[in-house]
Amino acid sequence: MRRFLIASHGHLASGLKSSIKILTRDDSMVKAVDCYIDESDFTPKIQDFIDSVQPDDEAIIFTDLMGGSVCNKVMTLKPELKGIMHVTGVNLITILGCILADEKLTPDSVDQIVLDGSSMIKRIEPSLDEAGLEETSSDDFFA
Amino acid sequence: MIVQIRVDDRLIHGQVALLWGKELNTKGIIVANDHAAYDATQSATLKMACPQGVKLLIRTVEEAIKVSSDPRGKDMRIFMLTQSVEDAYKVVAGLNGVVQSVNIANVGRFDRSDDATKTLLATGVNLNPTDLEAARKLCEFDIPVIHQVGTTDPKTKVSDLLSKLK
Repeated sequence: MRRFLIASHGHLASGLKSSIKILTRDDSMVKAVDCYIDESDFTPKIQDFIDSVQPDDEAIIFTDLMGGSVCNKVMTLKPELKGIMHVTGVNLITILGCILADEKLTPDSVDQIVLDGSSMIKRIEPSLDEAGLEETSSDDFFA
Repeated sequence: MIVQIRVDDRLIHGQVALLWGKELNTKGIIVANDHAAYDATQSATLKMACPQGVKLLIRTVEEAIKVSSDPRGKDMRIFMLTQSVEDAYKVVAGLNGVVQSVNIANVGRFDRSDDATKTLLATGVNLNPTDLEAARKLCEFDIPVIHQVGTTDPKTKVSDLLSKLK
C-alpha cells in the first residue's frame, strides 16, 4: 500500500491534507502531523507511523523545512530502516505526484517527482510570448 | 470522437489535467468557450494547466463544433470542456453522433448570475434557468448524461437528479 506522512511546523501538514482531499477526493493514505500547535510531543505520532509501515508498503515522510526541527526529528527516528523515504521542503505538487505516480515509488522515481515538482515553483511570466505559450492550429491538433 | 464533454466552470484545472485525461485515455483537449477563445490571459492559464504531451485547442463554441466534425478527429480520443451546460448542449446538438457522453461536473459558482434563480441539482452543480433547460434537453439525446466530479466518485444520471426536483 502507498502511505504518506506529512509533518510540519503548525498547520501546513493538515492544510496540505485538506488540499489533497479536494483535488483527488481521497486523502485516506495521508496522515498529517501538525507540530508545535500545543505543548505536546509530536514524536510518538511520527514513530507510530513508522512502526505501522509494512515491508510491502511504499511509504514516504514529507517534512516542511530542511534543517528544521521537524525534519531533524524524523531523521533521528531512522525511517530508512523500515524502507521509508524522507522528502523535505514539501509542496503540494510533489505530494500529488507521489500519490498519483504510475511507477513504483523508489528513490530514483521519487527523485524525478521531486525534480518535476520543484520545476513548478516559479514566477509567473505575465507576457505570454515570453512564457512560450503558442496557439495551436487544428493541423497541429490532429497531427 | 469526443469521448466526453465535461461541464466544468473551471475548465482545465489540476483535477482535470491530472486525473481525467488518464481516466478517459484521451490524447487531445478541446476547450469550447467563447470567452477563453478571445482572452489571452485565460487561454494562457489553460495552456499552463494542460499536461505535457496532451494537445490543446481553445475555440469558440461555434468553431469547436466545426473542428470536431473534422474527419481527422474521427479516430482520435478527444476530451472536450465547456463552462456551461448550455454550451455542452450546443455542441451535442451541433454534432450528430460525435459526442459519446456528457459529464455535468461543476457548474454555477462563477457564472455571475443571481444565485436566487439557481436550482441546486447536486453538490457543485447549481444551475441557472438557461442551464437547467439545457440539462433537460441534453437528457433527450441517446447518450449518457452523468454527474461525476472525481474519477473515483460514483456516476449519477442527470435525468435521475432532474426527476427528483419539485
